[in-house]
Amino acid sequence: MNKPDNFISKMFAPIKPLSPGIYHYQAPPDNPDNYRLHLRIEPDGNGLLVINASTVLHLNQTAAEYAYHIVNQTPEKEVISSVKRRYRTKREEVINDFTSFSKQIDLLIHTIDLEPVSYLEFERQAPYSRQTSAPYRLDCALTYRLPEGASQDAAPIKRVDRELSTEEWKSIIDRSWAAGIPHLIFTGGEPTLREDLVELIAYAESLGQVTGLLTNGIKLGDTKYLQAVLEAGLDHVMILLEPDHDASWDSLASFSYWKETLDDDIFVCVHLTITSNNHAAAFELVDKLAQAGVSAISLSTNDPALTSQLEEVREHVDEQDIELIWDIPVPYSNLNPVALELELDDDKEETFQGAGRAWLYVEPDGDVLPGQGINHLLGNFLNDQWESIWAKASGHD
Amino acid sequence: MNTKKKQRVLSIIFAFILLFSLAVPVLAQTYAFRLDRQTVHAYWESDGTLSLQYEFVFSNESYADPIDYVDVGMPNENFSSGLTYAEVNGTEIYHITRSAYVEHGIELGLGSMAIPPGQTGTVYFEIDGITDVLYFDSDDDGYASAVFSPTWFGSEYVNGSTDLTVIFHLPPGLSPDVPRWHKSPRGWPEEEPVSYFDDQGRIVYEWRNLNANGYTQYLFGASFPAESVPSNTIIKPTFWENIGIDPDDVFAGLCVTGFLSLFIAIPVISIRSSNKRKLKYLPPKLAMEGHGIKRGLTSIQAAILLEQPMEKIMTMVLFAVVKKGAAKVTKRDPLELEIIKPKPEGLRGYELDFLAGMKETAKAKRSKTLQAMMVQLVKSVTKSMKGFSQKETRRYYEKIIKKAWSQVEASDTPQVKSEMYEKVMEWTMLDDNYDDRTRRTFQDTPVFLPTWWGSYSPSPASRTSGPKPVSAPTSRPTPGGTRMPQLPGSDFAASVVTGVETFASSVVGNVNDFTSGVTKKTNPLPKPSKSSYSSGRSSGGGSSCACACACAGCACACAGGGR
Repeated sequence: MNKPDNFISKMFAPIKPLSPGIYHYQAPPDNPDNYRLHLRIEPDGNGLLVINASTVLHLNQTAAEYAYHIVNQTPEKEVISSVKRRYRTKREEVINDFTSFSKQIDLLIHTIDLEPVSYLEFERQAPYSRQTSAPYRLDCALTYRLPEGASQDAAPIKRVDRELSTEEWKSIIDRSWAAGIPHLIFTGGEPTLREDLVELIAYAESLGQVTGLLTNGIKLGDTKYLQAVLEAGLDHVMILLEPDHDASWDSLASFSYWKETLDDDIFVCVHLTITSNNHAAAFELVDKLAQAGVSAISLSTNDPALTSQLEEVREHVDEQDIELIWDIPVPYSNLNPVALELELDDDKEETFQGAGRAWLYVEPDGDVLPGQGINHLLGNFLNDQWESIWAKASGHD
Repeated sequence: MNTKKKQRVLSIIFAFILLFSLAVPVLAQTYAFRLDRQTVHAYWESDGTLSLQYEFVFSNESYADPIDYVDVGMPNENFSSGLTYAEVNGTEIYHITRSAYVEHGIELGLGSMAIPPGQTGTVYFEIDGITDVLYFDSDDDGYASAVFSPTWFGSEYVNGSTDLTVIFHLPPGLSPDVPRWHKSPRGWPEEEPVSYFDDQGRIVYEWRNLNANGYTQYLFGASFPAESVPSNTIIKPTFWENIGIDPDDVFAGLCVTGFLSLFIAIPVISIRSSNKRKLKYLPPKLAMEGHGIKRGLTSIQAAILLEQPMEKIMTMVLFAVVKKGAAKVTKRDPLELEIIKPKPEGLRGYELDFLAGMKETAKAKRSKTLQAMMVQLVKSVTKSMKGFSQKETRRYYEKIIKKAWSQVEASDTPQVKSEMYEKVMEWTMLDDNYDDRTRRTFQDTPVFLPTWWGSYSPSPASRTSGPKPVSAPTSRPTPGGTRMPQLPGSDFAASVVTGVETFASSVVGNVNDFTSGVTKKTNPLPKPSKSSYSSGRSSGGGSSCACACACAGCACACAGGGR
């Protein structure tokens, strides 16, 4: 017979952190805040909480446990009892910490532009500095085809010899969700040239992923098509503005109309690339976008010599009722105002590239790159194991 | 096939069956379904591990929620979710993780393959490499006992009967007369399983009941020679397991029956062990991704961030437009400006808005326009701060203010001091003790007035006295021969302070009203929490006020209190 102490130790196996995986919560349609939470429990028990696919919070094990209960809407009594049962702590401590934690998350969800480091005493972490088990976002280039008349030089058509089928893309979406990637952006080429775009958006949404679309916007001028895209559940769209094309402006007008009818549940952003041709008129373009009701803009330049003009445009944007977005999968996106500002700092902190860490890019044939235009092959999403792709991206292979 | 029938007593396997778990679809939904068929293949491998293949046929009730997750209980915790495969209606699914709901279990997320209400779906799941699943047979140490209970579901979810089949595939290479089967569960149509060989030549025991149900735990077992598997993969039952008593029951029973004193050590060990197995609790900690310092703000933008009073910020804007040659003060009290035409290049948006506001002659309209200008300024600073740390940026600009003062104070001669002061004046103004410090710094020396000062402070003839006396400027020759106007340091400081006060009284009017008109737009109170977890306890957040932006609002809320 075993000694009682050994026996009891055996019977009471150690409690383990929560199972790794991704957990999702979407506020019900009648909730005016219309928010989504994605919690990824990492293998070490720590967590990553992504609010509305934009605010990224890193959680220690205890915070991850509380976030898990928030995402799963566990009744408070059960949370307290569960944490008390699983951790060496006192009931009062659990009550206080959970209440405080819930309020912090609640404030972050419901208060626009709250700065959590100052007002909620969060720690700050340099973007993309922490190794995680998967990126935050996957940019899926469904096709490198471009509309007729567009300069074919704008897409790296030669890189791929075939486009994946709908089922193959669905398989990639499944795998990305299983890997814990909460956010997909469909890009191209021109992704609206794929007949199955609406189906793929709906499919990713049905799993719980946040979806975005990067397009020239022209096909969205077709009201029927636009309605189908919106009904599929698309969360955000970025229109690559072609200032000289009336169709580009028409699509914006169309979007504004539907945005209102759909209770404001889609986020529209317009991307403007500052070039040597348009920089002189950039202020006017920004003003025109503001008048068109655009609420967010993304800026970059294709020419490093235009960085000071880019900064001026950024200041002009700050003075309008337009939000500035960066870190988006557009060409030259590394030349955005924030990245350039960080570059200029003499005593800057160590910065990390988001490509390969915070996001990956899938080409139309399934090949995975760290980011658009970074031609370092990490594997094929369809044929290679996710672990091997991510190990390569993380530099561990 | 000729195999020996073997009766087993429940006590032998009691501890083992406790390790099997209930399978449940995830909670908090209305689940109701029929489990039409459940087939389980249990492969007892020659390396001592167990592989399982499940096939469930669910018919979801028409009134229920979709079946979107299925949790499958595992015999113990010694399994890996990596050695798994699952599909729904023939389509592979990828959400296979350790279950959050079943202590030892696997969670299958059906995702888009969820079984809708009123429909039938087949879920297939397999897992390899489960270890620690064999025990020594209590009747014969030369035999390993393999007992297995297929996963079952909560009775509140399952309706109807189930065609349940459990198929044991024994380790390869056994002769038919060697292994022994255990008796079928009570109530099953046949006491013994059907025996045959599978396509790999392995001995198979198959139990089937067309009228089983999905919510009862059924036990199936077989024994085979221990040498069929590595000896270290077979677990020897403990004393407690052999006598078939759950130690938890022992402890509870001991307390109830008064044998506490005899076994006093056991509950103590139990509590200690219970704590030991728990996870270490650390206070919840959150870190947010963001950049550090936002450089490149103007002194006016920094003033917003540093929560300076609004009348001071507007005086700074006034200085800026005068300095840039866009306006000239024609009268200090009440303040009147002459807007210079054409406007110089390089005016910022808030400077243009300020000039537009000051053009208004009606006081109420002017105040309203300037309020709008301040709202816009706060919003633009908020926006430019997005993605950067306010805390670190504030600290950075506080350092700049300190540095500005030390540069002025370190200057050797009054003229160099004045030149330096002119360069950094807008930063020194951000110091809360600007007035005193200017007096101290220029205690015994005059301030050579900046070249633009004349446009701000008209000739003494048109200057009206403020609350503090202002000396008339005097002049002294510069090295080049021209004469630069100068003021005693204390008078200069007083002049700036007077300017702020004059601005407040003559342009803004009631500072508190003006301020609240701005803050209610820039810093609306956060919406009341909708969290179901709020219990009225104090928040762990560090916010001392309800600011939700670049926080001029904090300043303004405090401005009436004497900043």
